[in-house]
Parts: sequence; structure tokens; C-alpha cells
Amino acid sequence: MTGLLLLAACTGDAAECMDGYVASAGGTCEEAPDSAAPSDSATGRWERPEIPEAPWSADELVGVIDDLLDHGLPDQVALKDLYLEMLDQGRDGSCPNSDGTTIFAMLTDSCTSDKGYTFYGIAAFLEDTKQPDDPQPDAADYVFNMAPASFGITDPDGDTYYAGGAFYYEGRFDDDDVTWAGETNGSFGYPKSEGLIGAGYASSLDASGTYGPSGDSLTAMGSLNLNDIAAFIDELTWDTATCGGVAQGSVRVRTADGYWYRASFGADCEACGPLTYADEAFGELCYDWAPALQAFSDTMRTL
Amino acid sequence: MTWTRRRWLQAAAAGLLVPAPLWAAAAPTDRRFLFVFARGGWDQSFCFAPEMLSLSGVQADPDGVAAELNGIPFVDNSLRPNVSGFFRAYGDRTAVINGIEIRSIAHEMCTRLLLTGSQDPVADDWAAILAGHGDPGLTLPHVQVVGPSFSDLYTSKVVRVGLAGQFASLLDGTALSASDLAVAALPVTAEDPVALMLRDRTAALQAGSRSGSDSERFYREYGQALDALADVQDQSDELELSVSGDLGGQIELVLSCFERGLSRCGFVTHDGWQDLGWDTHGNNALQHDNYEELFEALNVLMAELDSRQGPSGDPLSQETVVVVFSEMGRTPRINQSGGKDHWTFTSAMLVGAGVQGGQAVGAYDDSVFGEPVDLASGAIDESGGVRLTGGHLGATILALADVDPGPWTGDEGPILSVLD
Amino acid sequence: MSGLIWLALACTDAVVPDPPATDSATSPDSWTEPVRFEPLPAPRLLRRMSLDLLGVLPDLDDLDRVDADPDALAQVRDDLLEDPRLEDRLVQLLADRFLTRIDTFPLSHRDYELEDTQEHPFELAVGEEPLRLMAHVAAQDLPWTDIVTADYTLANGLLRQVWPLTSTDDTDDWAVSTWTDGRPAVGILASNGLWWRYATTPFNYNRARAAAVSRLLLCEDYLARPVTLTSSPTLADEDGTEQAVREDPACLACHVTMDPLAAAFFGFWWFDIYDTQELTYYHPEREPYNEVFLGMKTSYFGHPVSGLAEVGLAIAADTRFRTCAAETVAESLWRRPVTVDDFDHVQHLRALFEDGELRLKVLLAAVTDSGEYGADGPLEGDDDHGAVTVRLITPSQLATALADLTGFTWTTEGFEQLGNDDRGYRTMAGGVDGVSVTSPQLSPSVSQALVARRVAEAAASHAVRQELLDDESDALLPGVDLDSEPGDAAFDSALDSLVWRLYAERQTDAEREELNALWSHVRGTDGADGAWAAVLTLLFRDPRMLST
Repeated sequence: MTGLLLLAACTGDAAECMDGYVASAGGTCEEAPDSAAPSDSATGRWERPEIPEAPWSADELVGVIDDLLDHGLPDQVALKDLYLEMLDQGRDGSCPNSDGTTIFAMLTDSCTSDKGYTFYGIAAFLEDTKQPDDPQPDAADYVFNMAPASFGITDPDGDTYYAGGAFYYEGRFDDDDVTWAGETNGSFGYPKSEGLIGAGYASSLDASGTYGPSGDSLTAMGSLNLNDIAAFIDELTWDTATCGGVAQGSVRVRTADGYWYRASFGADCEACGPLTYADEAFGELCYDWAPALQAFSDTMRTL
Repeated sequence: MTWTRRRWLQAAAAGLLVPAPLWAAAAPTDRRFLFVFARGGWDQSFCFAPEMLSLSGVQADPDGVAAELNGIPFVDNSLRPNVSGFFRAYGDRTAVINGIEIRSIAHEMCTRLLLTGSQDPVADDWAAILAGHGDPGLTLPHVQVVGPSFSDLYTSKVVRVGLAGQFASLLDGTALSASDLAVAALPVTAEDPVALMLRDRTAALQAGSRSGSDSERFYREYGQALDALADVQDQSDELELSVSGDLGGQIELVLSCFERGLSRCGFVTHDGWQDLGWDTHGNNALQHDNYEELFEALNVLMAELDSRQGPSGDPLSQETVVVVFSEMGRTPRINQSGGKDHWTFTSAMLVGAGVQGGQAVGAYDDSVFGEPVDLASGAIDESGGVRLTGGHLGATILALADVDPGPWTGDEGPILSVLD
Repeated sequence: MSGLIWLALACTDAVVPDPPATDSATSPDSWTEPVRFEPLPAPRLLRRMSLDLLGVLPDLDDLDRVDADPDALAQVRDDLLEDPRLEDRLVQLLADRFLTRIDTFPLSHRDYELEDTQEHPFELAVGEEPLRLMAHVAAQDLPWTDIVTADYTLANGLLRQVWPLTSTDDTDDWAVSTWTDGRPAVGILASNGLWWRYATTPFNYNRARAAAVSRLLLCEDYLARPVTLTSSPTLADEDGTEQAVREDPACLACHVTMDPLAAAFFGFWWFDIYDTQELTYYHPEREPYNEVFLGMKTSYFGHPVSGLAEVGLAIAADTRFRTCAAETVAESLWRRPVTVDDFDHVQHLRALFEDGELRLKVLLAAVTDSGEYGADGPLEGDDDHGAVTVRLITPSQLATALADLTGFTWTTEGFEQLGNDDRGYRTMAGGVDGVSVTSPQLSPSVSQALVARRVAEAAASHAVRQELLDDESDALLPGVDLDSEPGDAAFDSALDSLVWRLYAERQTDAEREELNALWSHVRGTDGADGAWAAVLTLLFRDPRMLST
């Protein structure tokens, strides 16, 4: 009651309010209707921009993923083979090195061999096959490693195999199966090659798996920029012997505006799964990852 | 009113601060200082901290052996014979200071903290302060060859010579003949009249300015610079002011200035073996080569100091302090790239005149943090000691020059046990 | 009774609390700068403004005008702000703040197979790219927020040749250019030049970049806070460090805001920090690495954002961005760090800036109007003023001023000698190299005097050749030829005008006689051309020329 009396009593001149506010009947200050209130922007508030309409439907996204995987997943074996091939074809007794190894460092100047190949940059590549009397019994049966590199090998036609990054592979016999692991991190390309390397690409794919009489399996994670499509594998697992060979995991695909689709799949061994766009539900995507994964697994067959 | 360092110093100059009791206003000594900066952050476990070899949490030099020569404990390794060679020959003149805390992990800030004791963007580093308190008649008070420099009140004392010997080519005029546009220096016969008139004009402008004003100070400092320039010009035939770029070449330039009594301070920088740097985030094994190359140069330096004379006729080693430091240390463990990252504790060395050698002050605890130190005795004192900082190092350096460190380092006093 | 008391209390004028005392600084008209300085005479203030805003000495006409009517200075200053040379000058001013004009980047011209003659142009172009964008925004009177929201950058022909850029301008000049590799519309935050300068390392995870953005654009310097490692063995390796920055309150004080901001920059993540492909292109596919490496999504000081594009918008809306713009301009023109004593003034500047639709020229005008900027010296007895009332001319100002006067630019094998330190004299002359030297020198020094000597001689030599020997110009010494002598109308007038132009002070009779004597003396041994070279050298080396 007292409060009501107070309220009723205070009907004299309104208390003074700040600019942009007016006194209400209740004596409080309220924002004036068209006040020159401090702008939202001046207080640090801002409106998130409207998210552009999704450029692809779920069906169209299937096509985008097809384009992404058109040349397959990045495989370090192809990078390795190309490196050794060009080194072998292009070197002479002193360029890019005089010790005949697979390591060279042209830090300030390039060299051109008498075969017409020009070498520039730094490449520290090693390859090793385990011998029966290897002092390290736990060593991989086969391993190759390009340590973080930045090089260019230009052929006599002027086409350059460029590499900025690193790649790695190791394979081990595991009874009748082979267990492998590897990474491809960086930017690579050579116009004369076919497939991904010919197109030039960037990736940071971290993968491991097995192959053998019992089938193939792999897990993968990483970023892909293939055929001008940016994608990110949150996780991907696949095993020909389980789940009917349906892959499980989550993959994202980026739009030109910088927003991401995210497709999850493989739950209950179903190839279809929920799709989101900019973190909002966007229906369902059905995609058969197995062919691309099988092709990739095939490239890992080095032992 | 914000008390910036500039105001502290101005107040000190005006006698408005209570002088520190230990240092009455004494005349500056002629002691010279050569600062050798291992830029990028050295791994103290490879050299200064043999105690780390036995710590399970530390991946120290894998082939290092704890050793001691001339009272200096250090990490010995057959890959680094110059390190043991240095301590064998000069350990009795060397004080190693371990466990200096630099409260940042960024190179630029760490360098500033170690060289000025402060984050203040307007501050003089120890070398500039020393030069400012040296003989006012020095021609090139502080020769900055390669590396960072922080100056405010004593900017006029800092002489940069350029990364590629630019000072020499400017001095002899060849810098102009190399210009893309055809230009020439003044005819020789015109040099003196122009110089004289310029000096007179500058003096007149100074005289016409209010005493103590910025204008007066500007004209005065410019006049002093012109006088110093004339001195250098007179000696230019004998003075080798070009720099070969490597550490040895940089040091040679400074020694040349010391010999001729031109400079009080010099600053040189070692950017690692083949300039690959001390900042070994990948491939920490480079620290072997870095230390070996650095100490090779230090051995040559000390030999040169012993054999060359200063203006007094005495060997330079009797009047020179060598300060060897790096702005940060490195983490105890190796990262996934085979390197080590930044660590907020580092070590330093003081070598030479006025230094109580044959000792290592401070240490690293099991977590590789600096142990608290009793400044008077240099002993580890976990209950009453202080953790050493760049300010303590700076105070020690200033004390070696009979400069009261109080206005610059405040409560962070010198490590008395390091002073002879 | 208590109710009546309540009533009495309640119905006073303080039903609602009085509004907080008005921050007078938010009202542009209500705050006035205390008078603390003796002002410069108008011509000398114009000289300072002209060198700071355009990098050149003022025209004789403008000097005469403000000398006759000091009130005209404001209009002349406004004209300077509309001068096309402002844009180039802003590049230099901003270089000292953003520190991108460095001599060595992770990539060199050779990585792009450019000729060695393009070494210096390449370094210049890379370092200037973000600066040019900002200068363009300022000079074109665009809102300053465009520097973090623009969908373009500025690039010259060389950059368009080697980077994924396109432009409607097919000249070699700096022009609005668009990235073609999918990087978001975030102005300088999408700049190669900025990120090559502020790189990151494998275990830093873009934190250094977040710190740089905060310092440069918000004036919040994470690195100004002490970093004190607690006694914890978990910090011994990177796993322990990552745990500490997530859990230790001492580390979280910075990392709780730094890391989510760092999460926005993974499109610029490089797997080899010296590789051409890696550093040239934006990597949109790597944006999600924030979740992998930092374990978090992007947010801006607590506000979730979807990525770098929204970070730009968030910065644009941040009040600190506006205040920082005011501080940046104030520090650049006052030539000293802004302190807490400047709070009211900075808030006043910010208010003007906001009222002026965030156009940087509003700040430039306001700061050049300030008493501190126009100070000749303190009021009597106030020596503790903290202002910089006499400044050393910067090497970039000296270079452009002499070029404007004489046509001389000091290059050697294409390297701007007052703009680099590899072969040149930038820091020797008191400039900033962006790495070891991060603030301009304020006082003379031996090195600076030596550089000033040689550049003065070179400019004088060039001017004599142009004006007197080859007769290709008449701008510096109008009406003068090799037969002119002291006492000739053209000779006397030219020198008087030149001194007026150089120092914004009239030559005294005594000074005129001294110069004439010098000229005559040197003419006797080295001819009229030698005499003019000597006189010009002296004038260019005078401390009044080398100070502002």
C-alpha cells in the first residue's frame, strides 16, 4: 500500500532524464521514441550480417563433392614418385647437389643442370626400407618423409613442380595386412602431371589405415582445397569389413561467401545423414564416399 | 601527472630525488662496455645450466656433460670446444648470471625489458645511459653496429653505423658517387667554410633559445653532433668503420673505436650460425652451432682485448666489460617440430673489468624457473632473495660504470657479488 | 510516520538518480584544451603541418598568406588535407605505427622469379600494401571502418603480377584491386603485407596476430601485460602450455580473449612459413583449424562470430577502434605516446571523429588544431610539460621535401636510400625499420648529422645542375643564372625567398651577409656552381631545416 501511495503521490514535475530519455508517468526514465540515443554501433553492439542464401541444394552439393573428389584425395605417394622422377631425370654431378642424395638446398640461388632442369629451394627427402637386421625393431617396414620443404623443380619446358609443405608415409606389415599412416600438408602442383597434382592443390590430410586380405580401412582428417573447392574433413572412418563399407564421419564444404555446409553420415551405417548450412539444419545429404576412399586406399598400397 | 621514466630522470637531474646511499655522485669511470646480443633466445640448458642435465622434466643437451672451469659451472660438449675453451681461458674474469626473469614471451618486448628494465616505450637502454654518463667529449659515445637500440634522453649519444658499413661510405663520400642520379659531394675547398658557418649558425641559434627549452637542447645536440662528425672526419683515414657483417667484423669495428678512445659503448649482434638465428622453434640442435660460433668470436674478442691498448696505454681488457645476453631462454622440452619455444627465464654473462669472475650467480629450479638470489652474496636464498630481472642486470651494469642505477631501476639494485 | 518520511524522500527531485556527471569529453563543444604552450608563429606552424601532412615545405604563397593573416591558417590546413600528396604522406605516417615497412620478409623477389632490380620495389610494395589501403580510405574521406571491412586492397602493378589480384587499372600505379582467392572482405585483415610482417609460428597458432590486431586497431596491447609463469611443470612443453592457457586464471587473463580472436586467422595458416604458394594465397579450407589447434570457435571479446569477416565488422563497431584511431593520429602528430593524462583530450578527439562520420581527416584537422601540436614551447615556468615541441625531421619527410624542392631523389641501384636499412640510411637518419627500431628518433645524432650532410650535398648538387648548368628548372632559384652575384636583384630575392620557404622565417640582414660572403668565398675557388652548391648545402643542413 505504501508503495502505491508513493507512486500516486509523485505526480509532480518529472525528474530530469538524460538526453534521449523521457520521464514516464511512473517517474522513471524511458527511452524516447525517436531519441538520438547512443547508437548501437557506438556502444559496440552490431548486427550480424544476414547469412546469404545457401548456394547449393543438397542434391547440388553432391555434385560439388563429386567435383571436389574428381581427381581423388591427395596422396603423398604420387608426390614422392614425382619428386624422385624429376630428381633422377634432371640432376647432374653438381646440380642440385654433388652427393647424389635426395636432399638439396638452394637457398639463395637456383642451379640449372646440364639436363636443363632448374632446382630452387630446399627439399630434405628420405626414404627407407627396413632391413632384417635393423637395429630398431620397431621401425616401419617402409617409410618416406619430405621434411617441411619449399622447392621448385623446373623442367626444360619451363613447367615447375612446386612444393610448399611436407609429406610423410610409413607402412608396416601386420601379419597379412599392412598398416599405413601419413600426412600431406601444404601446396603442391606440376602442370604436366595428371589429376590433382596437375591441377595444383592445397591440403593438410592426416590419414592412416590398413589394407590386406581382410579388406581396407582408413581414418582421415584435414583440410582440402581441390579443384578450387575448399572442404574440411572433421573425421572420416571407413572399413570395407564393417558397416557394409559405409563411411562414418563429418565433412564440411565451404561456399564462396565463407559459410560452411556440414554433412554428417554413417550413423547406423547409413550413407545419408543430417546436413547443415551455416549451422542451421538443411535437410539431408546422401553420399557414397566408398569409391573415393577405396581409390585413396589403393594409392597407399606400397608394400 | 604520470611519472614516466623521462620525468624520473629529469627530476633526478634537477636533484629532486633522494640519491641512493651507496653511490654518491662520483665522476664516471673510463670503463667501456661491449654488448654482445645473441638474438632470438638461447637455450640455457646447452651452456649455462648444467643442473638441467639431471632434471627429468628437461630435454637438455643430450650429449652434454656437467663441467666446471675456473669456478664456472657449464655444460660441456665435444661439439662446442670453444665454450670450454672460453671458460678455461677467461672463466676467472667471468660472472654468469642465471635465472633472469623477463616477463614476456615476445621477442621485441623481451629485448626491451632486458635492455631497459621497463616496458616504457620511451626509455634509454643501458648502453645509451652509459654513453650519456661518459666523457662528454667522446666522438662516438655509443656505437650501435647491428641490433636494437632504445634511446630517449641520450639519443644524441647513439651512433648507428649501418648494417653494411654505410657510415664509412657516407663519411668518405662514396655513398654519393654510387647514387643513381649523378651528384657529387661539395668540393673539398668548400667543406670547411660550410662546416664553420653551419657550426656558427647552430651556436647562434642555441644562444638565442631559452635555456632548458627543447629548442636549446636540439641546437646544442646538433652542434655536438657536428663537432663529433668533424672529429671522425679527421680520423677517418685510420678508422675502419665499415662492417663485414659477421660478428667478428662487428666486434672489430667497436674495438677500433675503443682503441682510439672514440667510444664508451658498442653493441653487436649474433644472429646464429649462418644467420639461421637462435630462435630454434624447429631443430633445436642448431643451438650447438650457435654457441660454438658465438664463443669462437668471444674467444677472439678476449684475446684482442688483452693484446690491444686503449688510449691510456693499458690493455683494453683492463677497462672493458663485455655483456653477453639473449632476450629469452627456451622451454625445457622439445616441441613436435624438434625445436623449443620461448621461455621467460634467461642467462647472461659479464666479463672483464670490475667483474668478480669465477662464479655463477643464480640458478634454475626443477621447473626451470629462476631461483631467488641474495643480491649481496649472490647465493640462492629462497626465503629472502629476489628473483632476478632485467632491471637487476641493468643495475649491475650501471654500477660497473659508477652510475647510480636508482633513477632507472628503482628497487632493483645491482647484484653486488658480481662487482669486484 | 515512516511512510510520510518515505513520501518526503521519494518525491524529491531525485526520484531517479541524477544522470552521471556528463562526460564533458563526449560533447565536442564543451571540452577545451588547457592553454599550456606558447604557440608557434603561423608560418612555422604551417611549415610543421605541411611537412607532417604532405611531406613537403609549404608554398611561398601560403607562407605569405598566413604571415599576413594568421587566421587563414585553418583554411590553408584544410587545403592541405585535400591535396593529393596527403595519401602518400599518410603511408609514411602509418608505417611508423603499423611497422610493415620492413626490409626483409619471409619471401623475397627471387621467390617470384623477379629480377634483382626489383628487390627493393618488391619489399616496398609488400610493406606498403596495407598502408596504402588505409591511406586511400583516409584520403578519399571514406569511413575509417572501411580499413577492416573493405572488399578490396590497394596494389601496384608489381603486386598484381605476383599475387592473386585483379584490377580495372592496368597501369603500374597503386590502384584499388580485388583478391581472387576467396579471402573475406576485411580490409587490411586480409592483407598479405600485414600477415607477412606479423607472422605466426607452428605453436603460436596465430596468437601473435591477434595481439597485433588488438594493439594496432584497438590500442590494447596484450604484450604490455607482464607474463609471469606460475611454478608449474605443465608449462615445460607445448601440451602443458596449451592446458595452462585454457585453465590457469593467470594465463586466461589474456588468452580468454586472445585465443578466440586468433581462431579467426587460420585462413592465413602456412604449413611452410617460407613457401611462395603457402604465403601468397589465402587458404579457406584451413579456417576450421581453429577448432583443431586452439580447440575453440572464433569469438570477438565474448561475442561469437562466424569467422574473419565478422571479426572485421566487430572491430568496426568497437568503441575502442574509434578511440584508437584518435590515439594513433595524436601520437603520430604529437610525436609521443599518449598517456592517461591525455584521456579527456582523446575522448574529445573521438567525439569529433564520430561526429565527422569517422573520416580520418577530421582527426588530422583536430590534432593539428591542438595547442600541443602548435606549440613553440611551454608557458613560462612549465618545463614539465611532456610535449615534444621541437622534432627531428624524419627521413621520409626529408626525402620528399628535398625531392619537391630540387627534384633529387636519393636512390642507389633502385633502393630508396632514406627508405631502407639494408643499403640505405633510414635508421641512421632517425627513421623506423619496423623490427629493431620502432619509434622515430626525436633528437639529432652523429649518424643523423652525417646522413643529413650527404643528402644535403646531393640535393644541392642536383639542384645546381638542374637550375644553373643544364637550365632545366627555375623553381628553386628563379631568375638566377651563373652570372648572378650578391647584390643582383634576382640573387638576393631568390635567397630571401628560399630561406623563407625552407624555415618559415625571414632571413636577417646578418644572415644574408654571411651567405653572400660564403658564396663569394667559394666562387673564388670553385666557381659560381660550386658557390651555389655550398650555399644550398648549408641551407639544407641548417638545424631549422632538419627540425619541425
